Order: sequence, then structure tokens, then C-alpha cells
Amino acid sequence: MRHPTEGVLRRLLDEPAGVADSDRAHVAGCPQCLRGLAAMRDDAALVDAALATEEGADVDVAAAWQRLTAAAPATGQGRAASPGADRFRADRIRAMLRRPAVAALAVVLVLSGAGAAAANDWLQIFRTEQIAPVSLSAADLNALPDLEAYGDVVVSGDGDVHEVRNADVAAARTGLEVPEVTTLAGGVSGEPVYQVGSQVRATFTFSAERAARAAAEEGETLPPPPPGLDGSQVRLVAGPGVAQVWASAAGAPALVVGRAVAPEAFSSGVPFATVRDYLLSLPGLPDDVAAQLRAFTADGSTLPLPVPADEVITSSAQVAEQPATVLATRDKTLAAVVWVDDGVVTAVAGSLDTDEVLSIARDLR
Amino acid sequence: MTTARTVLTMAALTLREASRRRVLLAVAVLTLALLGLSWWGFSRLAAESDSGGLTSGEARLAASVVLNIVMFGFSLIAALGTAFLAGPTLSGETESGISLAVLARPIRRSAVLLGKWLGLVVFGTGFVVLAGLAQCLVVWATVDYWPPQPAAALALLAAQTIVLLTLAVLLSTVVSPMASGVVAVGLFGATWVAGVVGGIGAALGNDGVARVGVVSRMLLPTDGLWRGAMHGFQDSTLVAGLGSGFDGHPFLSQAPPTITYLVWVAVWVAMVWGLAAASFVRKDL
Repeated sequence: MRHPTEGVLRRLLDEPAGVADSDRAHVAGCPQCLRGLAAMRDDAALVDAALATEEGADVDVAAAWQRLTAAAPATGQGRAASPGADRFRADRIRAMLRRPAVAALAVVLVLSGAGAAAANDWLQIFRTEQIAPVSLSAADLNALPDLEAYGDVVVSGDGDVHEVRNADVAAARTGLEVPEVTTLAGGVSGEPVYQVGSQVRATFTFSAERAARAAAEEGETLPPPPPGLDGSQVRLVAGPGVAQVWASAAGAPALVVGRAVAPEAFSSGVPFATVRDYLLSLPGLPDDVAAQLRAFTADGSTLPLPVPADEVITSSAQVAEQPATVLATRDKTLAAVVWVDDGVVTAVAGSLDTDEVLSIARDLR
Repeated sequence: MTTARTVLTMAALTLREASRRRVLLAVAVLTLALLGLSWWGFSRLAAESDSGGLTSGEARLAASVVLNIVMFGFSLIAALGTAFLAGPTLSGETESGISLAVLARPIRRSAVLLGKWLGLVVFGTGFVVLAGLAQCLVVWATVDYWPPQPAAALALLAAQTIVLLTLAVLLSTVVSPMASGVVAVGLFGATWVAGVVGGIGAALGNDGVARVGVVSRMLLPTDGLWRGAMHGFQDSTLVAGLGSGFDGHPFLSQAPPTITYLVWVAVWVAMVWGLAAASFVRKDL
């Protein structure tokens, strides 16, 4: 049988007649319940002692009540008659405000106002963040930054990323040695799709007037351009490139192994580094354009990282006896390793671990 | 007895009551069951990755979505637990006459209410933070995924619990214990659904439907806080990569809440608590 509840035990003290025989029989033979009953008896005795009044003390409750009821209206009248009528009015207003119905009405009014404010976009609930998605695509291999807002851009060659039949065709179209992947990571299987992109060339002529207009649209003023920059030309060259893309079982690109001629910039007059650093300092330059622009150097020596630097964690490693940059998104769902060898950039990227992309990169032939 | 001591005593008594009513035990057992089940689920996800069905990145992506679903489960347990605990603690004591004995002492009714509210806050937020942290550790141990902003996310989940229990306390001053729990949980669910409807409206570019979500998040801020918490459990670059078609997804969130909204939540809690106090102070016991 289950032990009786605390309430039943207490009733054994206060109203023994109200307890069922079965409970009474159980308690009589159960050491645990007897212990509980003894504790309750001690508690009851303690409370009785604490609340006990002195023997013989006769409290006249009726007289005390009369005194109290007589005192209450007297206090009220005294207050009304007092010269502080303003204070009395203020007290009445305060008392009215404390009424639940008035308080509820006030809350409903505030809620309606806030709801209307949010519905009309006066109050933003969520911060609007422009987050550039981190993507893996063959088109990144020969992409050029969109600098139309800052000057004239004349593009020759459209990059034309398209699929080809196999590695031999890809090598013939690009003139690059297609890297052969010997080990694949877990979740990546099957044959890759080969994509090639031709060389893209663009001539960019900086226009201080157009840059000032772009800055004005952002509500800011253009920092003074370095001397000789207005009208100076930069030639940007990217590609050709080849990419092998493996899809996962879900159909998304799971692994991309790409190789391209490293992006390079040639300038006439002002050094390219000056042009680039000035452009990067301009207000309103989109993150993805800035990331692409950083990839260009005068000698093709730095790594093209077509991802915004603040969205990824970077580290360094050695691949094929070359220093390589390892990138991983903050949640570790995407990783990439990029290195440059003799003016040719190779990248291994995928929805993988950094260890997995490094292992694939080191086993390339 | 000073008001501060009354408040702390009532808070401690509320926690003791929760433990005496076996609520702590029930919640602990439920949480352990959910943690165990999710451990098994996440380890299956990791096994799927090891066997070549998913890449490690895809397994983490799936884990981040499943983590949000499990966290929603925890927020639901916290919501149900606190809503049904808040009911009996106020209106139950009024019905049974316990309040008459307690409030005959020279203590303010508002201090008693604040104490009970504080006890419930400690219970609700303690549960959400402990269970949420344990869940994050389970995901980290099984799939090697750690949320980008776990502290902010857990704080927002705790704030969501506080909002709901404040509403339940207000309801318990005017209706019966059971009705207050049912109404509080019902409103919590309705706001969540309104948020999903609003998200679908935003994804489809229908302003009228999108406004349903916005207005509901102002009237009862649980869904706004929940979406903010999800943002802390998931990397926003990942959600941005999925495209605008996923805007209305109930378990993906692109943006954190604004400071203005968090201030509104604080105002909301203060306002609703004040209303509960006004109602309880005038209540005919």
C-alpha cells in the first residue's frame, strides 16, 4: 500500500475521525509514516506554544472593532478638511490610476501604439544585416570586381564559364594542367563535372567625379584621391580557369577543385597598389567587390579569396611546398584551401572540414 | 520584515513549492529524456556523415537546423512548465484560502507577487540555460558543431520564458489556475503560428500577411525573442546562402533582434507585471 499523503497525516492530528481505517492501520504499522506524524505533532506543539496567549487575558474583540470603525471615517474627514486640497486631488488621481480597469486600458493603449508603430515600420524588430553568402562556384575563378560606380570599365572576353566533357578537353581549352584528385572525402563520390572559363580582361579608368557621386549616394564625402589618380588606367586580367565540381547526394556542390591563372593588374602611371588601396578606402564599396579587389596584385602573388574576410576564419598551412591559406566559415560548414605556385592559383573547397580539404589538396597530382 | 526580505522569502518558497509538487523532478526527467533522444539522433547524423551519405559540412548544416528544433522543444517545456506553475501559485492559493493566511501578515501584496514572479523567473531561466547548454554540448560532442553566439541565444530563450511567465502571472490574478495556464500556452502557440504566417508573407512579398507576424511579435514578444535566439544558434552566412525562398522557414532566422525591440520587451514585462500587481492588490480574496 502507498504511504498516505501529508494532508492525511495532518488530519490524524486535527480530525482523527476523518481518516479512513485503512490509512490508520497503515500508519500504525509503518515506521516512516510514524516518524512523519511525530514531526508534525512537534510542529503543531511549537505553533500552539508560539500563538498561545497568556492565561486569563480577555480580549474584547467587539470593542476593538468598534474603535477601529470609528477611527477610519474620522481620518477620512480630517483629510478632506485639511487645507491641502490639491494633495487630496492628486491622491485621488493616483488611486484611480491604480484601478485595474484603468491600468488595463493604459496597457492596451500602449500595446496598440507599439503594434501600429511596428506595422508601419517605425519600430524595427530585427536588425537588417547585409550578409554576403559564402558560395563555391567555378565562376569565382575568373571573376572581376564590379567597379562601374568608380570609373569607366571596358571588358574584353566574358569569361564564358561552361561545362566540358573531360579533363583533357579542359586542359586543351585553358592551357592549364588539370589537377588529378586521388582521394575524396566522406559524402563525396562519383565523377566530377568539368567547367572551364576563359580569360577576362578589363580596363578600368578611374573617375573622381563618378566616385564622388557614388559616395554622395551613401551620404558621405569622397576622401581626396592621391595625385594623378583621376583618369589613370588599370588593366585587370583574370583567368583562364578550370574547375572540377562534385555534387553531394543532396545535389549541392560538395567539393570544388579549381585551378586558374592568378589574377593580375597592370597600371599605367599611378602604381596599382595605390589605386587599390584608395578604392578599398571608399565608402559604400560592397564587401564582395572589396574581396575581389584585394585578390588583384601587380605581380599575381597574393591569393584570391573571393569571400568577405570577416565571414571566415583564416589560417595558414603548407601545400605542395607552398604557403597556403586555409579558410573556414565560422560554423565550419564550408572550408577551402588556396595556394599560388608560379602564377597559377589552385583551390580546393567544399562543405567539408579544413582537415579534409587539406588532405585532398596534399594528395592532388 | 523588509520588502526585499519578503520578496526573497516568497521566491525561495515558490522554488520549494515547485520541487514539492514534483515539477522539478518531472522537468528534469523530461529534459534528460530529450537530451538522450537528441544524443542518439545527432550521433546517427554523425554516423551518416561517416558512412559517406553526407559530407561533414552538410552534417553540421543539418545539425544546426535540428538543434533549433530541439531548442524549440526546450522552450516549449519551459513555457508549459512555468505557465502551469504560475497558475496554481497565485490563483490556486487564493482559491484554497492559503493567501488569506499569508496576506494577513504585515507584508505588501505586491511584494508577495514580486517574490513569486522572481521564483518562477529563477526556475524558468535556470531550466532554459542549463538544458540549452547541455544540448549545445551534446551537438558539439556528436557532430562537432558549436553555435556562433550561444550566450546571446540562451539569454534570449530565457527572456522568452520570462515574458510568458509574466503573462501567466497576470492571467492567474484574474482567472482560475487551469484557465491561466491554457490561455498563456495558447497565446504562445498562436504567436508562433502568426510569426510563421508573417514569415511566409515576407517571403512571398505580401506586406499585409507579413504585418501579421510583426504585430503579433509586438503584442506578445515570445516569437520575436525565439527568432532572435535561433539566429544565435545558426550561422547567418549559411542562412543567407540558402536564398530568399527560406525566409519564412520556422526554424531558420536571418537577423538578430534590434536594441529597440529588446527595450520594448523590457517595457512589456514591466507593464504586464504592473498590471498583474494592480489586479492582485485589488483582488477580493
